[in-house]
Amino acid sequence: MSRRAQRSPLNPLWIGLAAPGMAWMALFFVVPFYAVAAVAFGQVDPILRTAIPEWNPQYWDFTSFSEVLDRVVGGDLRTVFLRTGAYVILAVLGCVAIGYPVAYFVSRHSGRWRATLLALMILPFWVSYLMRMLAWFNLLQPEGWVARALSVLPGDDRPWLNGQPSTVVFGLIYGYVPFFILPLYATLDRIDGRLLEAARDLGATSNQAFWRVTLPLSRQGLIAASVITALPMVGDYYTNDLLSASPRTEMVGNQIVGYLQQSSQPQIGASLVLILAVLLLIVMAGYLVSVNRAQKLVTR
Amino acid sequence: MSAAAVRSGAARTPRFLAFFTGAYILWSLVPVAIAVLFSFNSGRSRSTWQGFSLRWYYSDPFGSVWNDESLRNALRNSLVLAVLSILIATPVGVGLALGLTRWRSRPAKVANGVLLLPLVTPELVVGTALFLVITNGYSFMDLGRTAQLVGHVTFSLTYVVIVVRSRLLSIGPDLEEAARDLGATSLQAVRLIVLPLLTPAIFAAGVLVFATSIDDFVVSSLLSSGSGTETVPVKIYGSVRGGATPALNALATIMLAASMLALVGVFVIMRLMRRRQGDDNAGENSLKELAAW
Amino acid sequence: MIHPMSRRRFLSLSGAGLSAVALSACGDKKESSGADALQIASPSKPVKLSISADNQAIKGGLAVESGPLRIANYADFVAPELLAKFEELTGATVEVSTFTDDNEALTKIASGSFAVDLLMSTAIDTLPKYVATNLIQPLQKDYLTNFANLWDSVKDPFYDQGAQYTVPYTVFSTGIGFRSDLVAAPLEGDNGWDALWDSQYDGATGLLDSYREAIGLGMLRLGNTNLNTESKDEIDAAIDELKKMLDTTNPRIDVLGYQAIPEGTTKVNQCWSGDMLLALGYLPDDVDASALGYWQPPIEKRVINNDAMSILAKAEHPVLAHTFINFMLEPENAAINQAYIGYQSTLAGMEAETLIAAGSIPENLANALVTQDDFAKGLRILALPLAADEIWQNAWSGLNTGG
Repeated sequence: MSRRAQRSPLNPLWIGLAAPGMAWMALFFVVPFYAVAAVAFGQVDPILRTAIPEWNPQYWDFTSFSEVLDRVVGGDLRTVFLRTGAYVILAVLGCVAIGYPVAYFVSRHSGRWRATLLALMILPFWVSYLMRMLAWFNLLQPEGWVARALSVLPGDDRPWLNGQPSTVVFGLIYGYVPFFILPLYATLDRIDGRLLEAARDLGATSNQAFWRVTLPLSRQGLIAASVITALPMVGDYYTNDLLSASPRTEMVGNQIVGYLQQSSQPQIGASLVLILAVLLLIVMAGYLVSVNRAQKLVTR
Repeated sequence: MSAAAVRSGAARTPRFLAFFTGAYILWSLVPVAIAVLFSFNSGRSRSTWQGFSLRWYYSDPFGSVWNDESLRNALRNSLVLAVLSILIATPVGVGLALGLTRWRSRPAKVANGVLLLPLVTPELVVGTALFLVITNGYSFMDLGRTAQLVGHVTFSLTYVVIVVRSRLLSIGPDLEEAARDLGATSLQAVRLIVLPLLTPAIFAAGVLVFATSIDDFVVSSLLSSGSGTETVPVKIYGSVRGGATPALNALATIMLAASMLALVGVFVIMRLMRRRQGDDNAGENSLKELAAW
Repeated sequence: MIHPMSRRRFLSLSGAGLSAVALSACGDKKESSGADALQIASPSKPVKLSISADNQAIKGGLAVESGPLRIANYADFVAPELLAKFEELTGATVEVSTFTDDNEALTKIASGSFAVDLLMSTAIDTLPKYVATNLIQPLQKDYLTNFANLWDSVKDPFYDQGAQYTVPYTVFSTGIGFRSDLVAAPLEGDNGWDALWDSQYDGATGLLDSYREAIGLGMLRLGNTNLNTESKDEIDAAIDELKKMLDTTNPRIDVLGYQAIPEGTTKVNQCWSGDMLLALGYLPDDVDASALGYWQPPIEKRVINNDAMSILAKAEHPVLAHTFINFMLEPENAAINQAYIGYQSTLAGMEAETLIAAGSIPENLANALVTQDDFAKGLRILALPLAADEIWQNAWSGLNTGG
């Protein structure tokens, strides 16, 4: 122990190795957020209607931002935020419903197929998100195979690609489930098999073993996987765009992109980005706090 | 009794789960296979099969990937960006992983935290922020390939650090300490002991960067400077709803093939290396490493 | 304004145009102080755009540069055959940078990230901004020997008297496209647009993703032909009308009607006249061209517009750019272009009879061609003062929240 203390962690080698990366993250991840604020609280060129950022916090102009905030809290943008939240929650639930059984099976019951199944499970993670959406887009077009197959069902001739919330949620699930399954698999894989054996030795049925041992042990991993999936999903705008062209399914990301691009009020777009980032930070912080607490419980 | 109970208990549940897993795998991969299939369609449709043909790959004089300059450019841009991303993100990320794991201090902890953020931040947010800062602040930079490269690397760094760090943790500090006890400097220990041991992880990290960059859409499009810097995902997105031919499927298939090739190649190399390092479960462990955990 | 031509506007959502936010630090854009610097024109108040002393036309008789010619245009909005032909003619290569939206083009050109020579497909209501910031240069007519081929009415347009800066590119009307074999009854008469509000077409309708056009449709249906109004009440009334449409038929909102209609994804779709001609190329094998139909309102309620070509002030190959404009003013080339992009030019030879006789378009789409007569009488979408523009945009984004 004392030897390790002698190798003081202030060895310049480590600092030198980490420095380029840290500088990079500072320059290209942290500082840009300041630029968002500078635009949100800045001015707009009178003719070109492009943003003029205000770098000095003393001159920040909060009028536009507070208008946007009003719309988010009580106005028309509230619908969009709520809808986005609803889609994300539904999609994550879908991911859990689909992903958990699969991850569980591959990690605990797959026997000699394990490596193959693992490879197959990882594969979608490697296929471009857009290509997978492209695939479903083609299948859901009126003359696409899935649309035609589904139209055989009684009373179901919905145009799947025309503003159907179910299509958008489905798309989100399909797109994000590989990102959900992998960390979940990692968690389930790490659960010590001997614990389950012990449970069985003590007389538990395999059902009880699952509900009372596996599930609780996987809870942290489940939450982590859900967070990793849900947060990026909140900023998703392209799934909605690809699979639906209707205001009925408009998500926050669509509004942001719309304001930043086609309007002459880019500062509104920047304000929305700020609000979104803050909301996500709050959720993230809440998650970290709960993880911290859980860890403290374990190590007490 | 316990063995029999385990066996009988274990035999019941898996049948449904096995079926469910099989269904999931089909559901997640078959649509992609169909998209690949339609890239060989002889007609213009992407949803009605009209016969087999390679026209969208090279023979169609205006529409094929080979002949349509915008498609070719997209392909080239994607590959160039991916290779450049690997060249930058991998060394920087390895350095980060090494440095942050060994250097215990406040800044390191903060850096660790910041590194996790890209995983949970929507790309829209980061891409927008980067766009704004590049166009309004960093006057040494312009939108276009450089900007896109910066975006790709920023997102990939997290993956590199995760993969390398987990390998580093499993290697442990003992070998390094042994080397230093025998007189090596820290640098020598890293160069001669740690890096060679890390090589499979570095390969995995490299191919992860490749995949992240190739598939990246939001950042690539937000930071592009026009059709000259379009990448394949951007092209697909722009054309899916309108005016697209199976050439789009062909483009996507080519990218898929490139990813798969890189993946399989690296997997084989990694498994070889791990076997040489004495790993009994080389195949499965390599797979896990490739999925970044 | 979302330009009518932005069929690839979809790409804009790919963020290729976060340009609306960008204003990198380079020079000559911020001189004008306000909206009064914009010379907004209307048919009753034509405007002769000012030419500043340091932005004069180039001299005539200069040698053609060797290229490459850099063009900024919507994606896929000029026939590749024509570009190849031009390359052969002049020996210069042609490079096309694409944008998906007028605002995007403006910002990219203003910030310098589009270093192009020729700007195509600019909506005429964006024109004042280019002139006010000296981004485009006056044309040198000496190079435009085919100028005479243009319709008389566009040789001296109200938005650019004397055609000092621009030459029209395409002209189009706004109406409703449909498939006659899929609708209960072909759209005709004065109120064909009612079909968009008809619940029997639930899930099979489409609206143009252009805030001026879509809200304009609401206004026209209510009988209001003041499409350039600044009155929030009028805009809100139109929005309410559109909300009713959203409730009854849940339309798609995009600019891809030219594909949706022939493929049957939508049965009734607000679109531009050129879209229906373009649609001919997207018909599935089992659908005949006679199934396509285009309805437009009576002339006093019909929106007709054109877009323009102009040369950038900082163009490195201005003579080449002039040569290209001249090249596009040849009726033969315009016909080739029309066959590819669907949209017609304002040149002789674009009459319905000629095209039908040549077999380029079927009889049932004869009304998708704008005649010179109609062009003179149609309603125009004009530039708005900035405050009014914001009202329109906010109304549109409010509608898009789906709330």
